[in-house]
Amino acid sequence: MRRFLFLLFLSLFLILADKKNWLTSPKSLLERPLLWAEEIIFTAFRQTEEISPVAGDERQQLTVSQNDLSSCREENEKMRKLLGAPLPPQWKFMDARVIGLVSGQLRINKGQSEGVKDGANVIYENILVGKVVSLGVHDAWVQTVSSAESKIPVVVKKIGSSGIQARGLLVWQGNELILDRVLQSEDIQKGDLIVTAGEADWLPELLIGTIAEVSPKTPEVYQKAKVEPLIDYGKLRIVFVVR
Amino acid sequence: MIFLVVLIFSLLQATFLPLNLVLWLVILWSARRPEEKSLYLAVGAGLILDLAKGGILGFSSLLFLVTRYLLILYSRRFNSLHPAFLIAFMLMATFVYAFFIK
Repeated sequence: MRRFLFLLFLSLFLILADKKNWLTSPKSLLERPLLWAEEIIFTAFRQTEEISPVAGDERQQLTVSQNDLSSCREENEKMRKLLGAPLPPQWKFMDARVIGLVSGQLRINKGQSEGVKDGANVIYENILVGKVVSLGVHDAWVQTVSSAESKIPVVVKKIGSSGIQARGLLVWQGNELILDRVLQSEDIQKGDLIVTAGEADWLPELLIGTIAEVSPKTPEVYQKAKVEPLIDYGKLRIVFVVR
Repeated sequence: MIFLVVLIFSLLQATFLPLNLVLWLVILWSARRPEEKSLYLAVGAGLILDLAKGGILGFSSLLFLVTRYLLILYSRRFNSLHPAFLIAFMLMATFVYAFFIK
């Protein structure tokens, strides 16, 4: 019992010390090699998904080298695309590498010490990826749009028009992205664009997806629609944190 | 040795595995071990997991420690090594852990 109480108080003290940021330096020191190992594990995990398991040694080596090269090209390409994306000039971006993906949450290799803030929006080109929900010294967890807890106020727009067609709430339900809370009187159609409304700490005018299917009309106050995301959140390697 | 396994499981959990392997390992490994040793393992494993996942340091330790202590209390009156009980306990502990740490 005494030992249990000692360890209990030790754990409580550590929680308090971490909350008060007293442990930032030792934590940072211990986390660095772990983050490095996690990046390697996650990259290897991605490669096993992409590389054919029957490939021979040389072919495998070549594939790995090609993969490294394509990763650099991809990084340059994404940076170029981001620079060309129609985003407000006052937004500042920080590139971050994806080092984990668990239950709809992405883990990135930038955290508090790099200037990432809790609640910061994370994008890819001008497409919304998610929001920082948990912050470490050198890492952060990003709740993606395809996370069970995600609820985003959005507007519906027709492609090529700037007017708002409808307003609604985007939620993740049973493995699907659902546009909910759209008044029955509002006109939404397959192919319409879903864009952030700029409410509840979400930045405005970020693309999310397109309407894939509108549910049949019911006597209920609101109508629903299935939404097709513009990107596969599970395949992202580099994202940008908006500061 | 056991801490190496905890480290590997923690790294997997922090990158792509949506299963709480570390918690299950703590419960299963400590079920047959002396109380004192198992309490230290619970705290140590929690610290490694928190460092790997970038969570609040000590939070997993606290949850693992309480989980282990409940198992100790149960084993003083009943048979805590029964597979059915262990599985039910592991599931319950996983649920409680997921409630506190997303």
